[in-house]
Amino acid sequence: MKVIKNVERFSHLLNWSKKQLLIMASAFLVLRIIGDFVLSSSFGYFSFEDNLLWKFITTFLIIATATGYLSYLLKNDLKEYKENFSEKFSEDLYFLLLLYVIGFALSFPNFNDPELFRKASLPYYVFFQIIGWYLLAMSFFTINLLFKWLIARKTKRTNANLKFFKIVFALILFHIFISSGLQYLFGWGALSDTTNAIIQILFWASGILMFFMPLNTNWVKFVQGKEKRKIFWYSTILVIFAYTITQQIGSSDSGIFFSTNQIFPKLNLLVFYPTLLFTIFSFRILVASRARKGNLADDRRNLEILTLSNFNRYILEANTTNRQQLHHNFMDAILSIVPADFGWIEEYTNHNYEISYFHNTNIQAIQNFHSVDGFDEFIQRIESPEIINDIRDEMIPVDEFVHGSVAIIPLFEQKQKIGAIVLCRYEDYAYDIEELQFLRTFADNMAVAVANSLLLEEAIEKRRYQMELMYAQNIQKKIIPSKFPEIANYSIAGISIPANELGGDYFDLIHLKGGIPTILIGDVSGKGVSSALYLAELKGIVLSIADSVSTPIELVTKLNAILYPNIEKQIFITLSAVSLLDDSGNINYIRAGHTPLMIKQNNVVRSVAPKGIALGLASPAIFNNNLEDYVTRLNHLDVCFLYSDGLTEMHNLQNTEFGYKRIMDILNNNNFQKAQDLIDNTFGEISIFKNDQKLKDDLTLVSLIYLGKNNAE
Amino acid sequence: MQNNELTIISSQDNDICIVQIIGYLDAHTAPALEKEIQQIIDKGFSKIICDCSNLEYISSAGFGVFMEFIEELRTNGGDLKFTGLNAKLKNLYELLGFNVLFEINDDIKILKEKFTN
Repeated sequence: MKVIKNVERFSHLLNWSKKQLLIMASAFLVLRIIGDFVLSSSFGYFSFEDNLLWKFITTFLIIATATGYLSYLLKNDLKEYKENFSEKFSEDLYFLLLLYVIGFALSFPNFNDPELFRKASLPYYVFFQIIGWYLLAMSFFTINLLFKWLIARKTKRTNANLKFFKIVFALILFHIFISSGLQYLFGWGALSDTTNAIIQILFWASGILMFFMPLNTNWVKFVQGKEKRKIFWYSTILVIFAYTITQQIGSSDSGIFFSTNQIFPKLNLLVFYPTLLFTIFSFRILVASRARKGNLADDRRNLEILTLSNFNRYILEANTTNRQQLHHNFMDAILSIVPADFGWIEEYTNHNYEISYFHNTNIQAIQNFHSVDGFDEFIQRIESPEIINDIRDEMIPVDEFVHGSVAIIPLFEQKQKIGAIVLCRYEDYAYDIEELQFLRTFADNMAVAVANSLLLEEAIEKRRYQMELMYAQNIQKKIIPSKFPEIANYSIAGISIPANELGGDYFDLIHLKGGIPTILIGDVSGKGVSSALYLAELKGIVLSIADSVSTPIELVTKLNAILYPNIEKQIFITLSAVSLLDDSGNINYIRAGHTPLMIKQNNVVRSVAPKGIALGLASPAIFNNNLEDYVTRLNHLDVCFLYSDGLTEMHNLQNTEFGYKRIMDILNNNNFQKAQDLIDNTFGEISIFKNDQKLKDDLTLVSLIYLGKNNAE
Repeated sequence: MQNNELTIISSQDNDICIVQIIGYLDAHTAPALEKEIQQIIDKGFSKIICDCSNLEYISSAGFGVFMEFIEELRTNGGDLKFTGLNAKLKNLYELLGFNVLFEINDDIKILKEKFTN
């Protein structure tokens, strides 16, 4: 709607905030209702057409400010919506469900009883329009959801549909406020009849469009069990309620028809249209959520994990320095998970490219892609896998054969882009967010593989040794975060220092299902390249299962179930996870063979080691039976300290061990305000202890301090 | 500098092989233990007791050696058991969960009896 854009621009111009717009809309509404009351008690009016000018001005002001508010909501939500679609979507469905149920309850007494209003005594019956306002607000939120959906999951055709819906909205507004107004004021019925007829046709057209729109409902299949059931039930109930309300608001002998049109004649159309679209939309979602009972999401996840595992094993054993061979293996592995209609690998030499692998394509087709304006620049620009959703739309192709969507995975060597894997599908918007995430995880693993093949070359060519190790270290820095995101009420800091060129330690901050922030620290047994590869594998698996588990226990049991049959017998991984359950200090800690958690709670320092076997050692039956989690609540400035055995087992020249007592002393003797202070202090102690001698083992420290205040203690 | 050597002495008691692990067991010395245990298995033994009374240090790579053979030993009707763990080593075994996977006892006689029964 142009109106939305203009209101938005206008409100920006006046510097109105979201809150101000909401207050203004509410103030106009109150003014309107009081005004109606005064007008009808002094002059008495009954029919829709009385006091049209007053109604016109107030209705316009309320709708304009509310639309401005809505456009803010839409903009704020969109980014989150794109990233966390399925969760946000079911939240929104739930919200709308509540609105519709209340709307239904409000209007139920008025169904099929238009006279109910008129039975109320004269000046008071204007209050019945509140039901109309409520329905209007409800339809505004409905529009908000539909638009968000269409924008977040857009394809070229849904884009066209969005435009179509907006035009219909504009026409409805024109019909209500202009052509009908002319009819009432001057008796010009012709224009009103025409727009009315057009709108009737457009309603049918919209309904059909909404139903047959090529909505990409694939994501519903990837929603996990409980979430999926939620979506199913929400949409089922919504279909029933939205249908009933649509049917009532469209019939001229229902109470809600009257209460809406009391606001302004024919305003019921503005409720009718969104609820009609929404009824059909909910029905589509309902069908999609039932479409496939098989657990496709789980299947794909398992396949991803299997591929990552097989892939890592291949790299470990391959000992190949043949770069092309390595790239071909990447391509095969990727195609088994993320299929493409055609694709290729290109490698760069000077200012040219050479094609080293063809998949269902030929050199002519590839040249066509490269002659597209902006295509080469796009590949040059990207640092990690990216998607072109619709190449005809986003770039200006010269060849009619170039169309569809493209996924590009850049290949690096020593920070230099040496090539790219290009995957194409004939369809626009054919790659979804989940596939892009997989490609990114995969790219991290590829980087380790290339570093490994470089290391093998170095054994022959020792002179380049240092340089290339530096490259591998850079990759590790990508796996291990350099900075944690801010989390309300917690201060978190971490550092990992490899003793040799490549480390086997890991720490990360991930989000479990439901967005629960969870700190991880891990240590892969052994040293060097093989540990580093397992570490990359661990990170990949963690990333692919994180959003399907909701507790640390679930996380480690799932990790063990995947790792145990897949990793070599003599390799195991110790891991601790601390979930920050809320912002009031409740944490859930799990330990899979890792060093104990040091915790300072109410100034008492303790080491906490609940039962738990390291990952990859025991079958799920034994592992799960010997696992306990630990739940506690932190108070203001309580500290949790996680570390690798590189700290406790560190030796100095006198052959004494750093041990647990020194860690406890550090915590006892200081009152830390910031997580980084604890890390800095520990390093101070280490350098005194080691007398600045070199580290022998990887060292990883992660500290957590609770900053919030708990009242009831 | 500390001495990072590993010495392995194995002796036989009927069908049980007792392996004394002395010194440092880490990523550098683990291959030696690996070779020794492989040879013991090749000779036909499947019942092994590791005596860790003089084991000063064990790293994750050291633990890996035991994991490598345990499945094979158990399928052959044998096992791998530990004795002589000092308090520190015991704590380490417990943290990793090795106490669940392996039988540990201070008294070597009890371990031997369990093998013969």
